[in-house]
Amino acid sequence: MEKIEQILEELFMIEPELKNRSIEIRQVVALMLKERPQAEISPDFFNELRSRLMDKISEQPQLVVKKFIWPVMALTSASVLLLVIVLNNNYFSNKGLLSSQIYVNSLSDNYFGKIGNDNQKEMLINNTSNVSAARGVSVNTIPPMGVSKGLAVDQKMMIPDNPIKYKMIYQGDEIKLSDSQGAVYRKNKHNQSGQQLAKQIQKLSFGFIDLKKFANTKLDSLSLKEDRPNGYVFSVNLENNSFSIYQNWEKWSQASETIKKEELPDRDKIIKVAQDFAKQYKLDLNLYGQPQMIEASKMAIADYQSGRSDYGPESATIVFPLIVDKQFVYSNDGSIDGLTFEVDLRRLVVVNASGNFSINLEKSNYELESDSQKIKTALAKAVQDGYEVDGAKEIEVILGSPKKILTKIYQYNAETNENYELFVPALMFPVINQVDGYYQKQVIIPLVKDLADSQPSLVR
Amino acid sequence: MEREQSGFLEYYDQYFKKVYGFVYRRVLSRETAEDLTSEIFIKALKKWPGREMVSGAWIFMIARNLVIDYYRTKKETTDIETVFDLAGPINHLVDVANRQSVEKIKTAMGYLSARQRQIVMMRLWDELSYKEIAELLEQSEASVKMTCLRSLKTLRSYLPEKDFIALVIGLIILN
Repeated sequence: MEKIEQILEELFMIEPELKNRSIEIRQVVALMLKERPQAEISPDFFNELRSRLMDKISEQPQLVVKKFIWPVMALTSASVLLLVIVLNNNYFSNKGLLSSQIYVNSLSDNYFGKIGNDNQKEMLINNTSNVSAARGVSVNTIPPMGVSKGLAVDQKMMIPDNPIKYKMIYQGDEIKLSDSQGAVYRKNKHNQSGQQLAKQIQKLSFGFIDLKKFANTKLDSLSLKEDRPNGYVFSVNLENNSFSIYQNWEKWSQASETIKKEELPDRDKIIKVAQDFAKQYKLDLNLYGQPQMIEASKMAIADYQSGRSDYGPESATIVFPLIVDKQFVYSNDGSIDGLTFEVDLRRLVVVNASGNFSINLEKSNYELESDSQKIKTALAKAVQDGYEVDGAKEIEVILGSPKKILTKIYQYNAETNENYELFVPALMFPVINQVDGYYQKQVIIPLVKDLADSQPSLVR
Repeated sequence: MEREQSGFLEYYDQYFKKVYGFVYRRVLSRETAEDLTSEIFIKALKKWPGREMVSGAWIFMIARNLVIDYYRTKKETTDIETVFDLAGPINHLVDVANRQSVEKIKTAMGYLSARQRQIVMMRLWDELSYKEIAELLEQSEASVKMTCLRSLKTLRSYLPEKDFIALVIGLIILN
């Protein structure tokens, strides 16, 4: 009777007028239910079929590790395990656990707390000073941003004979800051990939031990080694969703000669090596943009070709830039973040490739700086707050119109004692003049309020 | 996404009864229903994409296709919508008691279109939700609901009055 009432209730919701004929409809429904052919289930049949299905499941190819070969298998077992998982479960299919995706979890405004706390500032100061070294000039001639407030003062830095001071001159269009709010992304450190893969591995039959007896397991990393000439090692870190592929050095002969200038391949050819490698291993590149060579590699090649340097570069780095919210992400060393390939210039092969196979992000909106004057002040402060030397020669660095990007910064959480990686909205100003000794190609100003107007250390 | 096969056995435990009933009511033979149900779950295991990836209608899609194949093999019909052709010979292995049961409503059911019959059967006999039926028949949920309603009205009109009264009295006595 309860079933009849439920069905009638559904029907009355579709057509309320039907309630006037509820007796007739009730009778039809009741009749239909009464005359329903009764499917009596045989418990034996249920159990037999269940057993058959269990057999079918266990018939799947399994790894049986023999006791006597256990020590030898230590290295390669992970490879076979991975292979079994791939074969049986399509683990790496587009919808699989390790598929290439960005997962974004939206949170309330200002969720990550204040961005730009003292600890973070100090970290950024140190990072920035590390990357501010000028090519061919003493490290100390480049203003180490904010260093006057940090360790460098106590260390009595050596003053070079011909100190140089750089001055940022903005010559771009009027800076328009239309967005009062912007999304800040935080990398979520806690992911389930390791636990889920561990579950799969525990189902495999190891002859000498029952892995199912282990509780609350987690797989941290996995590696797969190609046992062939010129083979590679694939390694995946499930703690941070990263992977790397690198040459299995046991299977590669060592290069002996330095590449000659005339043998240096052109940029497109080097990029194609990375592209072909990605294609060969079916690396999913859907999180990434068009590949490009990093500035340091471009310069190293150019310097060698022009004779400015006698050092013949052995490799060049190609980056497939990560795209988050339709924007590129720049690391705190000013380089673009993404999937990185190191290409051997002499042999035109990939030395290593590394990146993230998926990214778990938390997203929270923050108030952005809307005063363009403050941005210009921040640009100028990059020099004014730097290491001041009387009589230093001033060299102008001309900056063009900025573009919006995300920049990677770190935030320390005292409660969890952890550092978090944040992607923060920022403006990137290109350096448009050739400045001897200054090799940063852009200056980045974060747009989150408080960071923009008080963090010269963030300017690169 | 987790794709573990142990999840399949849980799924089997959950859906076995409904799937078996679904098949049985279309073949009206215990032996055939068991054969087909076995085939359905073995096929489902081969295709198993993981518990999170399957909707409520997923296993019934496999079941429906296999029932169609069964009837095609038997060359009794080529269309699932005419499977429940109460006027025609179904199968010599049909369980007699249930055949008598469906005979009572076969005339009225005969006035319904094949699609209407399917929807009524799926909702009232197989206890599939409107959403599941909609997915299975690739129609909108609203359309399925409306069709079910109209079908029941039609059934009421064509059920012979005397048979109907007799059945209702019987129902009252039984309840």
